[in-house]
Amino acid sequence: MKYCGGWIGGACVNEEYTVITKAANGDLAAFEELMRNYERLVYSIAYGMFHNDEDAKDLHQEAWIKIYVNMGKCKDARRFKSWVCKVATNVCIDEMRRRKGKRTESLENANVYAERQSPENAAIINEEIDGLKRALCSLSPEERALVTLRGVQGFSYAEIARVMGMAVGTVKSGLSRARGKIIRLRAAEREA
Amino acid sequence: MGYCENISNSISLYVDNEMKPAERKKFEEHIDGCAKCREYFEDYSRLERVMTQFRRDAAPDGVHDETMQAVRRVASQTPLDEDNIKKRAPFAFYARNAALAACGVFAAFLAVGAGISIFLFSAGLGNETGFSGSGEAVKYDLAEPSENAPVSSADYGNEYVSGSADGAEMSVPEISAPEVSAQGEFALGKTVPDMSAEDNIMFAAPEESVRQADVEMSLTNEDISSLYVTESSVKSYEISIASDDARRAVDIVNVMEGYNSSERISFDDDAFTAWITRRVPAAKFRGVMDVLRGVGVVIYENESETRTVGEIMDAKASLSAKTDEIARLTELLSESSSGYALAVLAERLSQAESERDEILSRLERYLDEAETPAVYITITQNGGIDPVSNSLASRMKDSFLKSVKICRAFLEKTVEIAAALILPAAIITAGVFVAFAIRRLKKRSERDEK
Repeated sequence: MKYCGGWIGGACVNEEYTVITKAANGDLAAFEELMRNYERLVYSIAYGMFHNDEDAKDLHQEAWIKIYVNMGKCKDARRFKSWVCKVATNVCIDEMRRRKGKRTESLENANVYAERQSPENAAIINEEIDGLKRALCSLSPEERALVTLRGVQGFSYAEIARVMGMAVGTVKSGLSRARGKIIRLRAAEREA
Repeated sequence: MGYCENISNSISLYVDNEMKPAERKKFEEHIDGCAKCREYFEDYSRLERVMTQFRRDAAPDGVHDETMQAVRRVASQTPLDEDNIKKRAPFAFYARNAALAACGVFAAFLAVGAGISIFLFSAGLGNETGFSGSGEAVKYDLAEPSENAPVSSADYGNEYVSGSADGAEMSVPEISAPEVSAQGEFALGKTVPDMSAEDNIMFAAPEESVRQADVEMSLTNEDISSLYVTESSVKSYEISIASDDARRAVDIVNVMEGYNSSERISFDDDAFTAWITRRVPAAKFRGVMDVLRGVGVVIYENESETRTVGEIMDAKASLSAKTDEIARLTELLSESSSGYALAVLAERLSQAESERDEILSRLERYLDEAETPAVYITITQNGGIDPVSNSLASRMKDSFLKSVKICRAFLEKTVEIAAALILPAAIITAGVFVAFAIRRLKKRSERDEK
């Protein structure tokens, strides 16, 4: 078996490098292959930031168009995953900035997890989720991205730093600050 | 600093599993004992659990197709950025830098080669080894031997070196004839005769036109009958000597009576041999031979004699007759008035003068040979090894010059190859840079249009 530098999105890096190169040269079949590997990730980031399918779909589409157009700007094929996340995150952050002052999530959106619980638990969970959504709305787009990448995607600090273009220390302090803000807001809501 | 003050940071690190084991243990102990921090921690944990509710393991159905359609639409409307595509081309970066590196190495190669060549030539090593490249003969500065001062052995230094380097016998191309002190003893008052007719001469003494003219003047004198020959025959001697110090022996030969009509010194494979033809005044011949026998062991000695007195007398008679003929023709020429006769007479006169000159030359040679018999001297180093030439310094010098020869040959080849490559390399380099420049300009103009 040929040497493989590692696995990203289920594809051997060496094979993926070939696919990335083809896609960068305008091969749509190769691009579609890449999209199949990474679309879950992109959609998940978009949903994690906006918490509704409608926005997530739009942002997912916008992100992939940007990825297609800017394929050549991905300097290192080994960091393709990080680069895709970066593009997706930036698309979401830009969208949030455009919608500044407006609600970015649909409170009517049903929570799949809550639906599977008992009515009492479901109510509690729905309450928690809605409360979290409200708290997230009060965060800056960058803080929201940090919380999403860590809490929803489970990225390590180093990965988040790479995606966000920050130092690891900044990621640590930013996450701590954002989480603290959410908890304080939730506590204030509960007291109220 | 207690956890309560900075609990947010600590909890964040704890839930993200970014704490070191020791810190983690300490944190857990604190949480167990601090109700406020525990409550805070529980809020944190709940937040993380709820956050996972936003995870999506797959995009909804139809999202992929819709997105792909949108991408296709964009692809059909907006061509990809050419610059970006080029950047993605594998090895483009390496190819560009390799070309630049190759150009740099080539330039450095040329510079170093040129520098070393200039250094060698400025140091004169190229000429010293005789690799002038122009095909000129090597010049040897063999000092003119003087009668009173022995010739120093150092005067042969260059010759030894070159003889060794080339591995062949080297003849000295130029030598000045020494002044002969016993001029008065020569017939006709001449000093140095013309030696160009000598068969065995390896190199002739420079023509001395003034003295030659003196000889002719004296021979065309009316008092030709006063010519006399002191020797009735021409003698020649051969002597072969083996000496412990061959070069010293050569020095001694060079300061003896007479002059060298030819000289050849060979130094090859540690063997020193000198072949000298020395013309010695007849009156001093016996003394010279005694000196020669003293410079080393005489291996071979031979005396030969050729009687020439009759030939000299015949030549003198021919010269007299030819002189008369010239006088007669000159007289006829002055009296004649016919154009044809004038032409014929002038031609005959010219021919007679030419013949007279030839007789003069022959006579001169006879007289020269009669007055200064030749001594053919061969001097070899006793034992066949020259102590000085075999010395370490001499060998080192030889080795050094050989290495210089090799280096120079290498540099010549290098420069030759570089010269052959410089034009194509320059064209390729220029082409690469022009291509880059055009691409950059095109990109800029496209950007401006956008």
